[in-house]
Amino acid sequence: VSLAKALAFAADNADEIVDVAKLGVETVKAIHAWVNGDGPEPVELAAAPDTTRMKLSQARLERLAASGGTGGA
Amino acid sequence: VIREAIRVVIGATLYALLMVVPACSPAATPEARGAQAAASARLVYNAAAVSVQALITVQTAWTDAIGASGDVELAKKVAPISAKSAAALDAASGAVARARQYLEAGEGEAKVRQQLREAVGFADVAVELLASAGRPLPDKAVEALDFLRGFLGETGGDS
Repeated sequence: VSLAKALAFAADNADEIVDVAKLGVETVKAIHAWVNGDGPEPVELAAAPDTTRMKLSQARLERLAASGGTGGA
Repeated sequence: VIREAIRVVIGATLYALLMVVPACSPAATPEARGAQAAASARLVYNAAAVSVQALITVQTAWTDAIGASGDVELAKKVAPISAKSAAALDAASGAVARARQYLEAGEGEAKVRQQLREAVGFADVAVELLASAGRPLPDKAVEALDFLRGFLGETGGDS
């Protein structure tokens, strides 16, 4: 796959990628506030990772590999 | 975009862990230490969950892009490697989920940390595989996972 296609995909899925980054930032904010006495002890647990889309994507890739050339988007 | 997102997540993870260390200071009272230990387990869990989710996002973007390209030859070449990294990330995700269950059930911190150690180990396997496939993020991810592994090992409590 070309780099351009990969980058285009990343751009199309930027919202999801940024959501992951935001979760990290929010986690840090909560910790920082707690340690400095400016916020409650962080008690919220992040959601366990979701592998659903990853598995679907892998299955699609394997279908393409076995297809002989008709498994595109 | 992916590299920037990963950079933010990894930076947040490292910062979160650095903030946890002073919170576990031995100068605290036994009651405070107990509360802080429980809190730190939650915080390390959150850092591990975010890191594994970030790797899953990158893995999915990778396989989605190749799947959408319609390039059969590339798909044949990549599918065996991506299958292994997906399996490793699935195992890492499972370990993180078990850690979450232990935390919610109020199980001992040692059990939580053991699951998180397993999660980091599986995630590290995925990073190695992604690196072998030429993905751009592994160096930073490896640094974060090494840090997590070291933290979990040093703060101990093997079950």
